[in-house]
Amino acid sequence: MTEVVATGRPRSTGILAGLGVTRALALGFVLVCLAVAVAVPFLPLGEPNRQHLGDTLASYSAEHLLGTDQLGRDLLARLLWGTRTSLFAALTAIAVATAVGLPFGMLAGYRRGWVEAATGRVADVILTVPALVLLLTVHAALRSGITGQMVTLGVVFAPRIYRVVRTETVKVATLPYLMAGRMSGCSHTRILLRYLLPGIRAQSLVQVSYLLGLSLLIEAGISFLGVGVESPNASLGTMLSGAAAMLASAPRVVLIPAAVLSLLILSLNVIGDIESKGERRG
Amino acid sequence: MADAQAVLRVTGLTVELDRQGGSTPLVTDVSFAIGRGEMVGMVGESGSGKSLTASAVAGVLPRGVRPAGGAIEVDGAVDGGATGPATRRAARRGVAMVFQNPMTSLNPSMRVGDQVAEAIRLRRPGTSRREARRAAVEALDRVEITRPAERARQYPFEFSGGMRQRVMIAIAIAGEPSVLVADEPTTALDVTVQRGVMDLLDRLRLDLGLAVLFVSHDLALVGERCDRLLVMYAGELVESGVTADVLRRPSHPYVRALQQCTPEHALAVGALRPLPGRVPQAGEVRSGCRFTPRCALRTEECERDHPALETRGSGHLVRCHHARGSEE
Repeated sequence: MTEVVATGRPRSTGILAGLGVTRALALGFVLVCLAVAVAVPFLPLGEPNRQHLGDTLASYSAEHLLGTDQLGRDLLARLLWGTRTSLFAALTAIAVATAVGLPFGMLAGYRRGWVEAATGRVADVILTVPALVLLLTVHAALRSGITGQMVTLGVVFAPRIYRVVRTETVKVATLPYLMAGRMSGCSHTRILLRYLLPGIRAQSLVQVSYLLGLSLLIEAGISFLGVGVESPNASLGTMLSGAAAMLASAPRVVLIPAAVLSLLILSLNVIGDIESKGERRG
Repeated sequence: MADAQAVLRVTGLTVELDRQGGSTPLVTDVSFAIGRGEMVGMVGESGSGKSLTASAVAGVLPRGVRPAGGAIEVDGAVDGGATGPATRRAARRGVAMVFQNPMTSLNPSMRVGDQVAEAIRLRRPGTSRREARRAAVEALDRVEITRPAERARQYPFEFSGGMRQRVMIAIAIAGEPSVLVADEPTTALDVTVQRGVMDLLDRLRLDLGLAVLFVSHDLALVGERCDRLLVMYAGELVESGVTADVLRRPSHPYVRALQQCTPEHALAVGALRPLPGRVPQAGEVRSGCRFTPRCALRTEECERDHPALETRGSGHLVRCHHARGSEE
């Protein structure tokens, strides 16, 4: 092999350059899903909940590009709206988990001492609660809908982000450049935001992308069980639960949302891998 | 040493490691002073407490280690004892530090120029961003970085070790300190680069009148560059004085032994004379002289009494029972 390895790796040649096909595809797929999720209300789609009972389980046609489901609802419209619902639900959970886990993790790793001991114990306690049982309980007690469920899930996930962030912070906090920053007179806040946060970014993003995939799966799971997204509304989970019985007669109705869900989760994991690779290289 | 106009004066500095059920002294009763434009070398083996002394002066002791006594006076502002936080801050602000490893001393996620500009803006809060950026380019130019305007926009990973150390120095002097603590700033660099950085430090201390505390374990380098020497052993000063005095007429057996185990000496005499034994571990208590187990001259007195730091000639201090009548 006469491959020349460039030692001075230029940083500015675009993210796509070093990605490789798999990762580029994964990133592309997630971006397309996100774009769809945002754009769905403006797309020329049929009403996702309208039933055409005379036209159930119809095959692909110009009117229904992906056909219809067991209640005659347009599958494409439901798929796109469902993707939106599922992604937004998962993002809610991750936003809550990050909003709680990241600041506490950084503080614990930076200040150590009693801050770490106290937050660490709370995190341990939350980690002992099984997510699914808690979600069923919250649903039964509060009936707070999918948003409430996802906020709950975010709280359950917060300790996982907290732990990764804390460990990384402890590691980065011992590097001399933080001390150098303190010596030039940076405040603790500035040290945390400009010095520590970039240093822990890679590992934290791995965890976030992994948990995002897991949130999608859990949303699908609880919606399938009927304690997530409420029934007529489409999410990747409710689409699966409604059509599960059709697997033998009309596999398309089940397999299409299932494929989208699997691909999304797979892509998120591949993307998390990019960040960790980047870390090892740098 | 012009004690009256000393910029940095350390008196009786003691540093301890806090442990459960007591504390272990790591540095005991170290006193010295550095004047304007003076470069003082602090040498010793690993574990002799030289880096800790430097960190204590700069106020960046690691977690769990704290100054337990003594005072550090910078430009008349005292840190230590019963001083209030305001004077302590003033003393702190007068000291800048350059660290040993230039590869991890810069923030990898900030442009180099921004890091220098940050130090400038923190020192002079009124400075506008644009002004600070221009001052940063000037500072990079002053530490002899070529094409400073262009380099200021680059990230640390685009800099070599020597160049990063120059940036560190630029950041350090951006705070307009009167004391610069350099903790083995050239140890991680190769010899030619080392010379360049040393020349720069030399020039800056003369131009800016910096008092430099230069920590190193390279006796030859320190001997070549520093006005005075402080030799540390097991957490205390064992010999100090003008470089020529200490190196040409070393009085402490430890300093003599150090000289005899350098390659230069080996070439002259034809044999390398290693120094047997090791530096005592922190907390190893010994009533007599701390160097006794490794000393060729040890006597009963050495085992029994801890020698004091005594004057021998002008400004030449030695901590040894045998130094007294040995030459003069």
